[in-house]
Amino acid sequence: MATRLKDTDVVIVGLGAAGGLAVLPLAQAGLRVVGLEAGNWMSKHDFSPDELRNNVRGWPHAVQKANNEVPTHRPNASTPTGPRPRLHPMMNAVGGTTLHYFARFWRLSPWDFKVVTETKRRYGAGRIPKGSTVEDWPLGYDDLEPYYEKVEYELGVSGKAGNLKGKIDPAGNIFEAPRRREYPMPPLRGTEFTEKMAASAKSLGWHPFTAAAAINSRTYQNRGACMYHGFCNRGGCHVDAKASTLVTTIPKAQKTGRFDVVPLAHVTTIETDGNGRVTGVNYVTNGMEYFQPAKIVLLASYVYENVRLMLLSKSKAFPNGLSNNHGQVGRHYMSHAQAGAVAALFPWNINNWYGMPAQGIAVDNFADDNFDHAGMDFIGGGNLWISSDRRPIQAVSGSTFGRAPNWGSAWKAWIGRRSDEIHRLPPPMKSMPA
Amino acid sequence: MSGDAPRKISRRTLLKGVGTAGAAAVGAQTGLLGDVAAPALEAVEQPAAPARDVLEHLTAAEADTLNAIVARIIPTDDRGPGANEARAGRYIDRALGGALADSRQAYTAGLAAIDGYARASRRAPFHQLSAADQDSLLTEVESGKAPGFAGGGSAAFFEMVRAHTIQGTFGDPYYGGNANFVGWDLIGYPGIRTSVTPADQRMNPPPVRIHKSAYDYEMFTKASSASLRGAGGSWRLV
Repeated sequence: MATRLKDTDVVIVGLGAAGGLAVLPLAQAGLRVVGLEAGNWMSKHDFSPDELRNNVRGWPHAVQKANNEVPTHRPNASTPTGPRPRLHPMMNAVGGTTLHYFARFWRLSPWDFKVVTETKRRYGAGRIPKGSTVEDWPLGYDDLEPYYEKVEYELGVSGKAGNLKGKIDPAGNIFEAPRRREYPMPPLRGTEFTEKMAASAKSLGWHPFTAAAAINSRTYQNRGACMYHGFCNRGGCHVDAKASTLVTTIPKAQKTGRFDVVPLAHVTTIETDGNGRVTGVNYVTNGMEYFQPAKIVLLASYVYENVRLMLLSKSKAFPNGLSNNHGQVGRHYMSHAQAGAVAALFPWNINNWYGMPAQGIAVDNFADDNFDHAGMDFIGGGNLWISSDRRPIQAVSGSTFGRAPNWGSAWKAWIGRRSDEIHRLPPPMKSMPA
Repeated sequence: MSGDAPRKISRRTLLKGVGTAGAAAVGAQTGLLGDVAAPALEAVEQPAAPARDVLEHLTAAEADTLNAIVARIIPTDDRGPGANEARAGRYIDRALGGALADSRQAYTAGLAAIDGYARASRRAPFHQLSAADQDSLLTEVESGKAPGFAGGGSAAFFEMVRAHTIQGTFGDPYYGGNANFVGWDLIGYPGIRTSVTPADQRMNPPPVRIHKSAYDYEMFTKASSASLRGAGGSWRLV
């Protein structure tokens, strides 16, 4: 029998990007907040520049929940279910995936909120992708703009506005929607390589800009500036320059005295009363079961854990799982997809050993509806982002472009000469719900 | 140097390092050798290479075969040291008790299959073949044509060993490979820094090379994936 804990106003499941951020305004508003996190506390001392641990082994000690529950995976409904991908892209820890994310920090564009309306208007109804359940959002960019600004200032984002209250500045992203306020910090610095690439992009008629990053370009709110040391890609920050919720909103919320963190808490079900209102959550920690009563339950783990919890939380009011009386829970998934990497072999060393995925130059000419799709068989697109980011194992693990075998003396000669001449660009793509 | 950090050595580990008796025993117990002949006893008579690292998980016969394979994947040649000098085999041996434990059975079966095929087709244990014969045999293994492999066949085994050889040559020396930073020097990696200047990111001149493990920087905790692997079990709901 679960031990019943003291009532609270809000219980949050998952203290990552969403939950770890939400705790601050809730606690500041005077609510008592309990945060349940599957992972444990980590600190900058845990974030060693270790490619084997971070990138190859995928933080095995910090993804324990996901690694042990082993969600299965299939790319589509007609493919047999197999084990999950070997490297789990999330982190189980206080701060969640903001600990080791790229910290590239985009706002959505106005088009993102009105995909159906805008596509029909410009190209006709036949261009809505078949099989997609895409809909317009019930709110628009303008509704969210003030909150984007709050988050950018709370976390600390470095960048250059390309559209300040309608005034276009080509030093920033000319395609972005108007923002009322400049970024809180100037952009991260470039490198000789990213500057060359920006000049090349410009010569093609594109509009390169230093894109925004939730990484300090200078000291911000008592956290130091970025050291550009090269292990930000799937790695935590050793100087707290990367804006995880662990080093920003979570400690600030704790200072209100109204926010408690329960690490290593594994939520099992959400409880509902006879009227169908949630009453709290059950969780297990250290082998003991607890019930945390709360007026509000905020599900803030990644979408498939949220879905699983809802489907597991059956009650008289919700016999098919919480909020699932219409069978919609778990449908319309929007992934975080990337296209296959484009690799380039340069005729000289580019010295990309340091830096990080967020230190770079972006091009938005091919994103969203920023170009005419009339002759295309798709809608949407993606941004291009060239950065300085490479580690040794990654460097020798890629293609030899058909110019060398992939083992033996000839391969050794290839990697000895070419490892610093290669750059890979994995373009993020627009996802449509299906 | 961190790569030589003191390690606990159990009696069992020491015994395993003594000879090849363990190889035959493992093969017989698991039945993983399939239709490949069990390792012949000649292997026992071969003197172990001098100054070999104490083995933690592999048998001496397995280590002979593995070290010969990694030395062909990244050979020692006129361009300098390779996977052998990097101690990629030592990296794999140690990791088989931790992060790569899931691959232990694949190594047992695959190394036996390669050695068995070497004896059957080229009349000598794999590690005693000429470099040319080793390469021709590994080419068969890589293309999936070598017999005696279960599961994904010989190609999958080759790809696994190649990936682990890369890890053991270009990973942090803390894990037992990349000895004397030979892997990083081979590709011109300028080394681990905790602070990188704008000048360090210029193309010319390239940054000064630093020979340091991540864990030579005092601020970082040395939590190994091996020690924490077991802790994951506590997550299972009974």
